[in-house]
Amino acid sequence: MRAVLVDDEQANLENLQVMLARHCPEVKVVAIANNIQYAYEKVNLHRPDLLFLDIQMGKTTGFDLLNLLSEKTFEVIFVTAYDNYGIQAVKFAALDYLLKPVDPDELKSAVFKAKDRIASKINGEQLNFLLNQIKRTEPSVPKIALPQQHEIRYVSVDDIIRCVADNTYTFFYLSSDEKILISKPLKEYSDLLKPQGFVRAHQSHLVNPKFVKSWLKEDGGTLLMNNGDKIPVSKPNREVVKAVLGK
Amino acid sequence: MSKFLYSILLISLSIMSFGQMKNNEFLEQKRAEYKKYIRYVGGWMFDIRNATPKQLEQLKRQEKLKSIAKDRFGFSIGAVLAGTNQTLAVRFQQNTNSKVYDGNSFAWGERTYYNNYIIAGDANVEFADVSITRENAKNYRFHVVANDRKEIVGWTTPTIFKKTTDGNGTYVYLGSYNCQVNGYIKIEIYNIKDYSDRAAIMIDWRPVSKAVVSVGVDYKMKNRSDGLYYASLDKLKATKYHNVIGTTSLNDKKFFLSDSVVRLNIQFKKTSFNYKAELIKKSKDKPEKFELGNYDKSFYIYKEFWKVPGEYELLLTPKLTLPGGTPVHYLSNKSNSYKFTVLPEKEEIKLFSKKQLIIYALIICAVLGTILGVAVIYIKKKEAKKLAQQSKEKQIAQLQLNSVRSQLNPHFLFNALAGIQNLMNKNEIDHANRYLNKFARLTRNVLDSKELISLTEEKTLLDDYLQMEQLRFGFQYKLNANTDLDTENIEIPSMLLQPFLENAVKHGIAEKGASGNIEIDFKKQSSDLILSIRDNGKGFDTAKDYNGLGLTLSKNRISLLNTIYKDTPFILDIQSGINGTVVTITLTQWL
Repeated sequence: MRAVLVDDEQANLENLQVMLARHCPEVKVVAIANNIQYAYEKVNLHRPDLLFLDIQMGKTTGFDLLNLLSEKTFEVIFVTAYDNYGIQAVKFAALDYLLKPVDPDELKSAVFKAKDRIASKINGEQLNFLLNQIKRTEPSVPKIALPQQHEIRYVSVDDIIRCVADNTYTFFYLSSDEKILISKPLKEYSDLLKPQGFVRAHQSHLVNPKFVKSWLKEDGGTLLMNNGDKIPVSKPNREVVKAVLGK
Repeated sequence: MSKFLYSILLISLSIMSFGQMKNNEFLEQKRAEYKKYIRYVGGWMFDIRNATPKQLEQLKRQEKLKSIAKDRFGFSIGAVLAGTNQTLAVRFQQNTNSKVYDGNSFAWGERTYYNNYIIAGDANVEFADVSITRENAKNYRFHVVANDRKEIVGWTTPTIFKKTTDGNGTYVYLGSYNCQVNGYIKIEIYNIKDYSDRAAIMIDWRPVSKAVVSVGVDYKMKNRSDGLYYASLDKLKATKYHNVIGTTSLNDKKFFLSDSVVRLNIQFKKTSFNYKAELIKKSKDKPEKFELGNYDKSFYIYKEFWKVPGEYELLLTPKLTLPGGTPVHYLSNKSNSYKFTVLPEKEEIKLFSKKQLIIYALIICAVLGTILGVAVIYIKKKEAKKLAQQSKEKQIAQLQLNSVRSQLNPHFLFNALAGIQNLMNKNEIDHANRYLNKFARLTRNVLDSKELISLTEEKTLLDDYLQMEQLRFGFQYKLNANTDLDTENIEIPSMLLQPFLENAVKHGIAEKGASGNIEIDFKKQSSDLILSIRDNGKGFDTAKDYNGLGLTLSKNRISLLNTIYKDTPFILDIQSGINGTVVTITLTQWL
């Protein structure tokens, strides 16, 4: 795999190079770049399989580079120092990212997954989705990418009725009456969707309040959904749920 | 057998008898045609040239019955006795003074009713069936039961066939049965291959008796909509429980007229014949009499018949008919009369007129309404104030909690940094790398200031932390989460255990080196989540307010959490002795 590394700090570039050499020898670094202009030239020149891309670089971002590149024939692994808004967008697009300082195990796992995705050639679509989400100027309802085994579903947050945990998997119940299984724990979606107004009613249930019909007093607290489903509200979550529902 | 002359009673059908017609050739011709082709069977007229197979079969059976009847018809009985499907016949012993009456038919299974004969006397009977042939006899079973209790003949296949003297018909003979004094018998026969093909006859020798009835009043109870209440007129105690009843002795049955009284309810001791019921209103000059109809089980007499107070008499007379329904005999020597008195409505003592009552009620309502309204407003205001206070308290608690969490930062961070510094100084690059990542993860968790984290994440963080500290002090540790906990999805407040763990390391086992041991357990106990840290350090005096920064902050934090999670309080328990310290945090009803 041929890779280009993009980061505005020399120390980080060197660090990543050393770690890739040590932990992922199959990755050959063909170029490194410490600004967008240079990175744009290098990517066009080398047509890499893989791009390690820092999100925040001075006044520019890694997304700006992606916007410049019309053909996205590479996989991207984002690298960031801290969980800011950019990483939220990356998560919504279900793309891969690494946090600095880079953990060797996480690096290995990210490279492994990238290899897999290069084979199935689905990355361009996700990147375009990500850039579209970031470009949105008017406040509208975001979409979220849900990676299934053979396809990626892009679902408007408003179309998610609720999510149910099944160990490290999560079931999504959509307003189209579909139920899809995603192989990520509920916790991740809970973190992503809570800022969108979702509420954790129970350790296994994340609920979109827009689809809640009423609060039933049975079993100490139950949410009745518009479609008739009943969702238990566990005791510690009762106050939070009531607050969200405005009760 | 030959001593008896039997008459056969069978299920035959009326035969059209033609009236005299005018001497008209056309009519003559029509009449001939009628005679030749038109038949009446089972109340239906049909032309044999286009009859259905079923009609033809019924016709054949009727012809046969007629043939048998001609042979033995010594006992005149009406023509139509039952439906066309009845095939059982009964003969009554002739040389007695017995009289035979029609009883009320009875059911065997749903919808199918069978004949019942009452014998006033001691005549014996014989049964026969005209539909069974030698070929199909093996499919039939019959039995005879006395008094619905004792089987005189168990289920038997009919085998005896007899011929009518004119040789036209064969019938199956089902035996001769003696009079049951004061009792009755029933013969039942059915086709084992088709249960709908069945028949029965009941013969009742019980003497016709006077009616035995129990009478009561059905009435509505004030303020209750659950149907009618029954008050017996025949029980002296009823007067005590039902104020409509005024019976004082069993010879003097009385009840009071009132709006709530609906009807009289008459229940018979069941018989197999009807009684004619008449109600007589006694009067000095001329008694009035109402015919109420014929009954054998129960009936009602509605208020319309006795709305005028006074003495009444209910006259019940057995009504019997000869087989076929005529003539009708009323056995007036077996009449029974039931006397009762209708008393005028009880006068209620009225303190206020209706108008006054309404006015007073309105005034009381208005006063109560005002008081209630004021009370509701007052309570609501108080409640709103209380709620506002509570939410304010909660907000303050949340703010304080956040600040406590950030206060933990430097304390924890610098300890962790010291651990990494130690690695760097020892020049262990790989280790330093790994611990740097652990440190980054821990720091991120603090900075993220997430309120809740999953047990899995908490476990990872504690593990990261312990590995770093292990590097410095070289103790042993175990981290157990019970398998019945869904660690991926159960969430707890972040940084809950961290300060206690720091304490365990620093003050508990730091100086013990390799012999130091820490055990962390996540357990479930009914719906409580129990988190515990056990160390084998030297312990400390829990009675003294221990001034370790982490501990004080944590106690503070737990009490703040308890103002937020009021329904699921956190309980902190610290047991410390010379053998070590156990810190237990119970998140009650958390799961």
